[in-house]
Amino acid sequence: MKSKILIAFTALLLFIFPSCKKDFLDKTPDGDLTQEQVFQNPTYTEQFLTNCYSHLPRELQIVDNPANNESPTNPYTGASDELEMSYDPNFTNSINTGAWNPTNYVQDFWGQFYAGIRKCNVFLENIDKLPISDLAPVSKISRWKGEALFLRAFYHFCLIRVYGPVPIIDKTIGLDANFLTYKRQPITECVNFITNECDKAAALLEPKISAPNDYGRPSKITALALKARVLLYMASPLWNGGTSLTDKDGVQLFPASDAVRWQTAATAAKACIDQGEAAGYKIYRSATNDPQKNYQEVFYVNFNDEIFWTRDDPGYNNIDAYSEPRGMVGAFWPLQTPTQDMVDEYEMANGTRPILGYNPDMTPVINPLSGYSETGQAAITTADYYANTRNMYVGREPRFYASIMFTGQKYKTTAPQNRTTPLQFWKLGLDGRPTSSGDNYTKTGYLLKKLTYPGFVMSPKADAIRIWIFFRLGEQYLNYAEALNEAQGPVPDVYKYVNAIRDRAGLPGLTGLSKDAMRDAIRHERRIELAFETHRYFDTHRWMIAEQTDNKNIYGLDVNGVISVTPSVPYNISSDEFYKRTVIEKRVFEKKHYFWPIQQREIEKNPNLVQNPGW
Amino acid sequence: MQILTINKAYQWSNVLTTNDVLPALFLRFALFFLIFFGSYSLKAIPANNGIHHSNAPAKANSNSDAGNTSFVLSGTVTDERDQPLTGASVSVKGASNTSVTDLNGKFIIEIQHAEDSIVVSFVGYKARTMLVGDKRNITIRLEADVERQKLEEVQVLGYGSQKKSTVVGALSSVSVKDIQKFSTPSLTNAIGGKLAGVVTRQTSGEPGYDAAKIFIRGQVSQSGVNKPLIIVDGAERELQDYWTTMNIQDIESFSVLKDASATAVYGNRGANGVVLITTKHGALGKPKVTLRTEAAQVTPLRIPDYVDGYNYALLTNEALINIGSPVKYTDAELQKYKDGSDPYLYPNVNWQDLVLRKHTTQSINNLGISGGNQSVKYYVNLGYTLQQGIYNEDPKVPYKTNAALKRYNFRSNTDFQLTKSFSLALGLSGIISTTNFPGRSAPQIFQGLMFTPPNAYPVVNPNGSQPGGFGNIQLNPFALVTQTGYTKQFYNTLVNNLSAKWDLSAVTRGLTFTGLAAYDLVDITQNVRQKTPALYNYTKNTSGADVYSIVSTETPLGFALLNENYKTVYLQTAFNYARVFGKHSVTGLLAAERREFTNVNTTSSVANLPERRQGIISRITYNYASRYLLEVNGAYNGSENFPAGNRYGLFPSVGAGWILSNESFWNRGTISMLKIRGSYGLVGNDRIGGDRFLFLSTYNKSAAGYVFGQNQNINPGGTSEARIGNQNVTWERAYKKDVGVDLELLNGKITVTADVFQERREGQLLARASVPTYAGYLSGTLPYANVGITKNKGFDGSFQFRNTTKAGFYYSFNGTFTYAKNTIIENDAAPALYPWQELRGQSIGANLGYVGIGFFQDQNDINNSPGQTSLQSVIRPGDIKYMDINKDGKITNADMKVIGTYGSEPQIVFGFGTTLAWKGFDASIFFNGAAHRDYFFSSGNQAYTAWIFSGGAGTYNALNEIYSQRWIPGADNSNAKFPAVRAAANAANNYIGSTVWQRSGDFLRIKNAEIGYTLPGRLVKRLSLKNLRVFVQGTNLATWDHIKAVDPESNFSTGSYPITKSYNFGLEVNF
Repeated sequence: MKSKILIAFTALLLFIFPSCKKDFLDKTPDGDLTQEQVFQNPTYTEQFLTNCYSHLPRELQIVDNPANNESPTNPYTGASDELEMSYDPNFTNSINTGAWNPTNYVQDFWGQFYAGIRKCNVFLENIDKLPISDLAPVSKISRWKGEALFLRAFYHFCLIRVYGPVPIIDKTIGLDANFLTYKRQPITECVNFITNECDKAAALLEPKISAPNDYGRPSKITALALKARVLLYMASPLWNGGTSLTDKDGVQLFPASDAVRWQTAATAAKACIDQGEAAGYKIYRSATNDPQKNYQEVFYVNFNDEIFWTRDDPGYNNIDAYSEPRGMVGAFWPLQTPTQDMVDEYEMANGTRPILGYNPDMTPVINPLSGYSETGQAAITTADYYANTRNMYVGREPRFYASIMFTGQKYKTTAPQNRTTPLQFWKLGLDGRPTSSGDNYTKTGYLLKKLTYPGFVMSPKADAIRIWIFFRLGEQYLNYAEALNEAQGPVPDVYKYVNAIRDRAGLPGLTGLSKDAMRDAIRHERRIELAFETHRYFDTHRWMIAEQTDNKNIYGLDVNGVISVTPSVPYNISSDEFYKRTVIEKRVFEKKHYFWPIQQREIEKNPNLVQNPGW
Repeated sequence: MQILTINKAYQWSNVLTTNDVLPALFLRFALFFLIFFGSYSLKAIPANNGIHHSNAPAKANSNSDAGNTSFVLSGTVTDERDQPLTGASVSVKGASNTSVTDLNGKFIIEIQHAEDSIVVSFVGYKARTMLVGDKRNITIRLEADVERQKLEEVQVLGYGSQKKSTVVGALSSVSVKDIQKFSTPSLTNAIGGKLAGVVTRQTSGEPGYDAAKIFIRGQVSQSGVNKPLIIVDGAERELQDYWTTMNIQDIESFSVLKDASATAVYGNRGANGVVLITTKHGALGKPKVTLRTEAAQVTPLRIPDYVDGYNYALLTNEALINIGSPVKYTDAELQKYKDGSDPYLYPNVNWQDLVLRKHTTQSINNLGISGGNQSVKYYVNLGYTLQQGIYNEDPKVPYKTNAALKRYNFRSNTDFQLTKSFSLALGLSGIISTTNFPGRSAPQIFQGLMFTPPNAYPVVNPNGSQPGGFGNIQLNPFALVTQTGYTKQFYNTLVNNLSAKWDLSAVTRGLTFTGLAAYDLVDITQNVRQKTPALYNYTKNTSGADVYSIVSTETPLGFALLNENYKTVYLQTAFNYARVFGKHSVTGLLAAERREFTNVNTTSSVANLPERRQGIISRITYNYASRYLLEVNGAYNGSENFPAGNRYGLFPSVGAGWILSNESFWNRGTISMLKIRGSYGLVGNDRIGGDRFLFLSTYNKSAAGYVFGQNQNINPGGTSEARIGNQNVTWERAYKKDVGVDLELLNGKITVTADVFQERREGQLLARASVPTYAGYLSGTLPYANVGITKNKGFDGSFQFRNTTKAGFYYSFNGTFTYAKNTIIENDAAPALYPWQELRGQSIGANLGYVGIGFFQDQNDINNSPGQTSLQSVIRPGDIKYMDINKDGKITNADMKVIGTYGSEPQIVFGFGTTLAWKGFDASIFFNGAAHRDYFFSSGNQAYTAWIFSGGAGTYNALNEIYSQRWIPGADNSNAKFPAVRAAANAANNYIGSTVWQRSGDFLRIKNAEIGYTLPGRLVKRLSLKNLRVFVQGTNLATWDHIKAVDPESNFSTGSYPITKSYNFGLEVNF
């Protein structure tokens, strides 16, 4: 009886003891993907590559700071002398007022671009594991590789254009790595890496994206365009002899000046232009070849033949809303406001420059040959403006009317808006500051027209599909002309390509300039042609003129003035006082600002990262 | 044992590296052993239940003695108090006939000669030898052998027990008698200060959630779980902390294992120390019935004291004047607050009085029966606890809204001696508790009390409707507590053991084999029935007419069901060996175990995967002549949470001791016992925090995509790394050192135990803060790694003096002291920008803040002090003045330094008390205190009442403690402890973390006091009882501290469910 109990008990124990499986502890989740699974499956692989794109900067967003853990936006347009932001919390304002340092600036450009780089590295290190299949034929895999190579190069470019020399990360870094062995590489190494990668990518990519569903992917010509741009930067003074920085091992991170770099840049730009045009890219012209439309439509006729590469940003549609004048129904965010300096830069329709410079009291030195006047008003209404528009805005070049909204301008005169009144940016004017309070008004008296979509309606808000252009053929024309002029002087090709740009804009060609005069003309041409496309910020840096252009007062009109407070009488279109140049902001630019600081916490983690000069 | 003799080294290493195989093999081997040898042994042993009956004369000794005058002697064996002793052995000296006393202490034995002597012995008593003479009936009284008892006293250890005198590990024990002096439904509340090395802190008195935190020798891990391992009746039992709700009356022993020598057998779970609890079992004897009932009147210990409506209105004006704004209340309005002439529009409501009861009740009742015979012993107990909350109820509401806990604990421990060598024990226990809560949680209610100023609205609107407000005072506190529905929680816990013990003396002497299967289940079901009440805000319009604006409209009672369900299976087999060879004593242990924990009712497949651990455990001890002690412990165990190949770890420890007092040269005159012991070893903590399966890299299938295509509508979707696996993720490793001394003076009247310890805890799981960003890991993907290191050192000890005078007056004094200071060695953070901000070298919980050096007296003072405009654009007199640590002439975040360096848990905990007893009366008092703890009135944004008006004028209540010590313009502010009030939401200067809001958490309190009276025996007998004791207890009777506004054990911030003080009346009856 007792033995039965014992046997029963032991049997019970046997039963409840889990059988002696070897895998008692081998319990792992089965609901998650592993890296092996991702790169065995073409859908997941493509999604992984798609996610690599997600760190591309969202440069259509001039005003907004990036949200946490999102890719950077565009602080560059507002931080150059072409635009002011009527919005204080923007990172741009910290740059403009000099209120930033390695500890307090929190915009995570560094982290976002390096996150993109890691993803590209993971992709490139694993893509060869993907079995070839109908969904992933060899051609597709090789194109994917090309895209990842290009993205990795582009992310490095996004870093070096603000930070200068950076660590080149071309392999994934394991967590057991000795992080102290990573250092900032000399800028020449960074540029070599990018150009080599561009060559590799170019060999794998389509010359011009053929399928409309693939628009937004980089083409071979995109890779060549990146190569040409980075070489232009490399040839420019800032990187080419203008900066001195030595790391802790005594390695010079910037080279001595070498004029040959201009020729290298010119050759690369020419290659991009020639192969681009062979592939079907061309300088855009509108159906009617109207110069104003020729230019304006480049930026809203999506994926036209001038455009190499874009960033689609469908989640964002405030580029139009932030430029809509307050007088339009529902509009209350007029935040993108071009500066008086930018307005002054545009030529007259006859190809002369209206303003040659500024007197010590910052009044303009008017070019007597230009026909420009700051007094008086237009007698008649034209297609662009109404009668009584200030003469400042009369007779300017087509790109002015395509880029700037000014008082007196005709605006959205057709259905559904049918506006019949001129734009009026004075205080209490239809589009000006509404009351004494409120920040949302144009602080310069202008709004940005370029990049916006003419058919945009604020209320009910109807957003058109907008794209941001990273690379276009027009830029390469100017890149080539600039590099070639520096390398060889104003040889015929220089005239050819600059004048091609001017011709599209309805301006007469340049003739008979010295090398220096040509340099000046090209810089001026870039400032207008490439305005608000982030180029101005990097141009003033690489030319090392930012100490002049960005270290001064920014001007606008007297948008806060009125004729009389009691009784309240606002300015009108004829008020001289309104057009008086008024200081909007005192900008700060010190020598150290040519490069962004590396965040202090990164240097704390790896003291071998040497900080940029002056920070 | 076979597994250990695998002879070839490569086989051995093979076994080790295949990880899972070893424990599994052991288990299989053990089972076969149990079955085959078990049935063999049953055949070998005759069906004899091991009890020698007294009427079995010694036939073997039948040498035909001529003078055979044999007769039968009967008798009774009793203890000193004349209680019968069951199981005492009676034998005839020089002969082999023996007898054992029965349940009534009676025996009979055959005697050959009147000259024979009988020897009566019983474990723990001095044996007596008596000449039989002509007696035929005899009563023998045995005296307790204190010395021997002590020698035989057994200490419960991991996976077994050991003679207390030869233990070398660091342990503390507390007797149940001591624990039950503190009337509480939560075990951990009762042990504060009573065990050397144990740090506890009770932060809340809310029924069902009032258990104190417990740390053994403080917290050591920055990131992992710091709770000790809880072993109840041999199995790990911390499921949902249910053990804190165990019935205190069921506890037989409560011990704490502290050093590596004691805890290494728990391997990767032992690093935080181990709490070992065993429950009561039946003893031989007639059924013994114990009834204990106690009822308490419970009072909230400290409720934040807020200013009244008039003073609040005055303060509001003051706060506005302080920022140069016009006042809010006119003198006429202030007068209305003062005289209460318009209680609807100028109310003055003490919401705390309205919402909280002055007193509530608690009762704890237990009925237990225990007893047994040689084959079956039993212990059964039923407990019933009722703990009421402190919320007032609205008689019009048809359901209960006050917090209340009703709990039934039952336990049945039955031991079956099936054969002489084989016994089974079945332990069944359950906890069924039902708790009731108002529709809103305690934090919401106490936040409501902090938010709602006395002048926010009246108790009831003029038209009888309930008042409400806007913003964060939408629900008036009374409505918050009584009109928001209710929540019922049902906790059902089953804790079961089946164990077998098989004495294998037949195989080799001293060997036993045990098996244990445990199955625990916790089921938590909640019925949440919330509603929103109808609330109106009452005002008058300009023409004087009443206006009622709707704040909220009434919703019906909602219904939500929440369920959690957890189960644990634990299996263990063990061989124990203990044998004495002359002067050499040896013990050995070899055990194997498996545990599987499953979260049954969960929504994620990962959480649903069982958590599993298994391992083998060994301990070998040796002592020579009870003088030199040596002990080697180890566990080899692993868990599924770590990557294959790295799942198992070996956790060894070694301990040694020297009992000097057993040396022949020792004079035991003053120091009757002296033992020096030390240990060193490695223990693990696999509860490292963070997600499970950190070694796996996971991918996110719905990561950010990117849009292509002419119409921006082609998005292939995104896949990205979600978490980078860390192939090296592992347990925390604790290297523990301990040196201790045990001392007895004056023949045991004074006992002292003291230990010095040191621990280095490596491998704490931290997010890799030092990985440079250019490595490209996004914050969410950055893996955790075992990089944190802390060190912990300190000492603990206990002291006891006890004596009984000749007149029978007993008095004792005892105390414990614990000091444990942890220091962060590595936290994987980048080096601090300024050395005074470095958290390495500081204690866990230290934080950064500004150092307040007083308040600005006037504008001159401001002008002549370092600028503070980076904190607040305009600094005014009465604002806090901060120390310019880097001396750069301005206060910036560089001037934050490490403050609160002691951390949030006390480094020092102590307790002391005395007990007196005389003739049935007994009295005791026990003090408990803590020191080296920093407390902050503010904690992040949870600072509502500390920072009066920090949400603008008229927001948040004003604590009297702060109100009465604030800086007042124009007044004598030499004693001001808090800044001037500012009616501005952005008055950041005063509302940042600083030493101004810091207080010492040191305290001393009368934890409990008790007076009892045991009725005299005759009286009790007349009532047909065995014993009757009545007692009165008080808990948390008085507190001395620096914080005043809230209880010193509270978490940071200024209001939560208070802990309680109670007066408890009880009765304990034995039948």
